[in-house]
Amino acid sequence: MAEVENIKTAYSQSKSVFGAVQAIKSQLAGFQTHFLLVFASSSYEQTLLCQSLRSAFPNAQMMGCSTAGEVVSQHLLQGAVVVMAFNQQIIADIHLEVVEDLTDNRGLDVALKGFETHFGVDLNRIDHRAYAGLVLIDGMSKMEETFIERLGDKTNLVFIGGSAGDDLQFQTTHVYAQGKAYSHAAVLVVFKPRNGFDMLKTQSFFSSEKHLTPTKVDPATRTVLEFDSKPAAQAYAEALGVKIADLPSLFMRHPLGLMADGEPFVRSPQKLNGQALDFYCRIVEGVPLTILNPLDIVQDTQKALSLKLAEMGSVQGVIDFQCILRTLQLREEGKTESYVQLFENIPLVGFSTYGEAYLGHMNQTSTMFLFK
Amino acid sequence: MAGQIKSILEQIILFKSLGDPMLQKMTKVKLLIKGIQVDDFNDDSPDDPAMIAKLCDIVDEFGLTSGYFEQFKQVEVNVDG
Repeated sequence: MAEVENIKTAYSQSKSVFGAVQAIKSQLAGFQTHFLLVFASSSYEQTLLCQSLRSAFPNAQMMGCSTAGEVVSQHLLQGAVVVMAFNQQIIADIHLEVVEDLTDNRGLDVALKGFETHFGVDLNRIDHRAYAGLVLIDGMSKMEETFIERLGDKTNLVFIGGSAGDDLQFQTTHVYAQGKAYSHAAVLVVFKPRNGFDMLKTQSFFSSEKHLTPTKVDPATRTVLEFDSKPAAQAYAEALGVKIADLPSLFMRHPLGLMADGEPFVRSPQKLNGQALDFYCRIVEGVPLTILNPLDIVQDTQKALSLKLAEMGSVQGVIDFQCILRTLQLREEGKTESYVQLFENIPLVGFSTYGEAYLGHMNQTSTMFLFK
Repeated sequence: MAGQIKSILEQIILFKSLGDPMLQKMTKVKLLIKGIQVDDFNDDSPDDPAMIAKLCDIVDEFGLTSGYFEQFKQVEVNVDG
């Protein structure tokens, strides 16, 4: 007897919203979709896309966002819509909340209250082995650190996810919830996978022996003005043994790591800003950072994934929140096929993010959710 | 005096994690992201009022309620005048 599928993926590269939604509906025909996770290129008209998906799947909870590239079983795409559909055999219970204004702290409080009302339990005391959260957040808001930190303050539940993208336009990103598209917003779900789950955070770097301590920062702009009381660019260049002018070509290969038990939470430099450095992630003053050295993304991810799969036994599906910088590197090295092959025989969905979420906001990382 | 910061951190981790080892590890990461390196503090660490005030803020952010923390908040109020 054939094994019943509890998770299905579908995708379309149709340029029209109508064509894309029809294709996805057709690929999921006969499947009882309880929860639909959607990642789509910003090239689609976002409101129309959400409304059309809602019409096609009126009984499903729907969450998603715009991307800087899409991932679906065996494909790393651009300009597409990808979805993962879950039935009730895999998700026993689910609740979705939208925080419509990231600048208003009350929004998150109301959302968390909504989860507590639905599940009937204090989120600080919820069983974090039975329940988990997903978070998708506006990738242009520069609010991710504050929001995800507050999420961690208020709950012991682990939320994993990423920042929405817009195909490297760096203008406007959207998150999707129940047929609507939002900007300057976040969408959260808390669910109870019926058969268990695990998470994986992998970044394909190892620590050097070199450290830099931020001594002057502007958190609001994610700028480091000084490392070790020297102009940031000068200190970083000295640590790498290169000229300041050469730094931009080395940012992706040598980002900085906030080290927790030997594991880096990656902070990636974005650009030189005079003598200062702008990052893709807020840097905290006074906490030493380690200069990281690169590993091969495919080989290192394979190692991390194999270990996790061996621990879990069987996996019914994976959601991959992969940093756009990793995707760009895979494309540059011609390794996109090798990367998606790592997930052979496992339903996979994901997107290229403007930042990843797991306990905090980070860069150049893949955060993955694995359904047992 | 010395050692109070280490004690406060131990209590924050205990209260936030409810004794769960996985949550203890996660709480230490959350503190690190806020700029607190837990392992840097020991019984000899000076009782820096600025750091104690920062930890009191984190106690509030975590929503921890315990008489243990109130004594330090009281000191903070007195210091502030």
